Amino acid sequence: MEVALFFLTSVKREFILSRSAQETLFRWIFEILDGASPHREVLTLLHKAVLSFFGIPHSLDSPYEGVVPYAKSLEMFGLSFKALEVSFRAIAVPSISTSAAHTIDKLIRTSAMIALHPEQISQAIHQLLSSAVEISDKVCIVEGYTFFVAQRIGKEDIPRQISPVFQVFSNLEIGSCTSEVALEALKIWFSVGRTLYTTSPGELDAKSWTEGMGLAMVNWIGQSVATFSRRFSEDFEVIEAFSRCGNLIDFRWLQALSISRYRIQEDY
Amino acid sequence: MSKSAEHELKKIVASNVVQETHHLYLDGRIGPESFSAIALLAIRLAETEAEKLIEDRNPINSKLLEIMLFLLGTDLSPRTFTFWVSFAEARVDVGDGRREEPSLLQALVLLLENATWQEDVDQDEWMGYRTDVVEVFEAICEATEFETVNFVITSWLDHAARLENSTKKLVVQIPRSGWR
Repeated sequence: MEVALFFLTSVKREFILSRSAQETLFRWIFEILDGASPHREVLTLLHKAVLSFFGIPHSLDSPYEGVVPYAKSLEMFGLSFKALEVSFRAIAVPSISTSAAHTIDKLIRTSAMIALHPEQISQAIHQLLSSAVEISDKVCIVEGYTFFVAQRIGKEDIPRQISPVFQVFSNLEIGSCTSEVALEALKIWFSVGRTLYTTSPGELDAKSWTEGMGLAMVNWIGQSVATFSRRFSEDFEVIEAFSRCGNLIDFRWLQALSISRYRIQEDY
Repeated sequence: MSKSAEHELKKIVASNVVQETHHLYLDGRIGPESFSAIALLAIRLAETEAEKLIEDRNPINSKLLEIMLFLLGTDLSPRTFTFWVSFAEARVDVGDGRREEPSLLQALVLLLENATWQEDVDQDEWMGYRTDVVEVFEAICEATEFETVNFVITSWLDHAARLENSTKKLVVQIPRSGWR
């Protein structure tokens, strides 16, 4: 089965398995993976093949029309949530965490079925961000989640849906944390700001951003960045500080980050 | 190389010399370099003749094709990839588009077997094989009718599903007789 998935992933542009065969294949995949730990070598291998298969990148032209048929089939057979479940389980295994992160990103961005349950997704994202997963994998998932929120959620509700990403850092001691922790926070915030700004800049003038929860978040991030900038001036430099509050466009400061030691942007 | 010399070489290669040399190599009676020399000559000849192997399926050409399939089961399998890509492309160019080409299907099955994970596999070698084989897979799919590839893959999956041993089910090697 593993090599068949490898083959199907390899020839995604030239060949697509028939619909009936896909249905059978998906049933087998979930029969085998249900409850199976990805830690055993052979199962790790299969998980990786499955994740690559589910997470085949879609066309850049359109995030929805270009979705490859296997992702469409997952949706058609009502299996997107199960695929997401498998991916969330697999992300805890370091050797396949990157494949899992890409699949989660892909599923969250494209699945209409998953989009019906934003609260469950935000809860899962919150738990994931609190766990010991590689920062690059976290960033990948945060970008997918932010894209999902910006595309599928009404603009006044965006701050509330984004807040679980920031709540992960609610206990962050900005005056005493290490530069590594600070950098991790900056990377996450940067990925949120950049994705919101590139995905739906027109929705960032919502009242919920200029008042209340959105404004509080923006202010808190601004203060944190200013503190980090002072505390870790030898580790990295923020060349354009947060200057105005009250408008999410100010998330652009994160795009202007120039990190001499860690070089955030090169990680993407 | 003159046409006549090339023809003579093809005749020599098309005898069982490659298979016999491989047998001698496996028995330890000759070194790997001796087998490689004759096998690489066969591969080179096949590469230059890819279109002719489609157009003119005479006994010598058929034998050459058989040797290329044989080599897929040896250590020199990756060295035949360029030939298989050219052969599949020639199938599209010279033939009338996608149609069934038994050699390509046999090659596909052998390639799938070679790409299958096994417990004693050399990880680096296996990963390298998988990286390189993708181009051959793509070329075969472009040259072959959808139904045929679909049949090969579903047969593979059906066989795997019937196995009771879960490890074999995941990474099984299927007996080639299964769909020939």
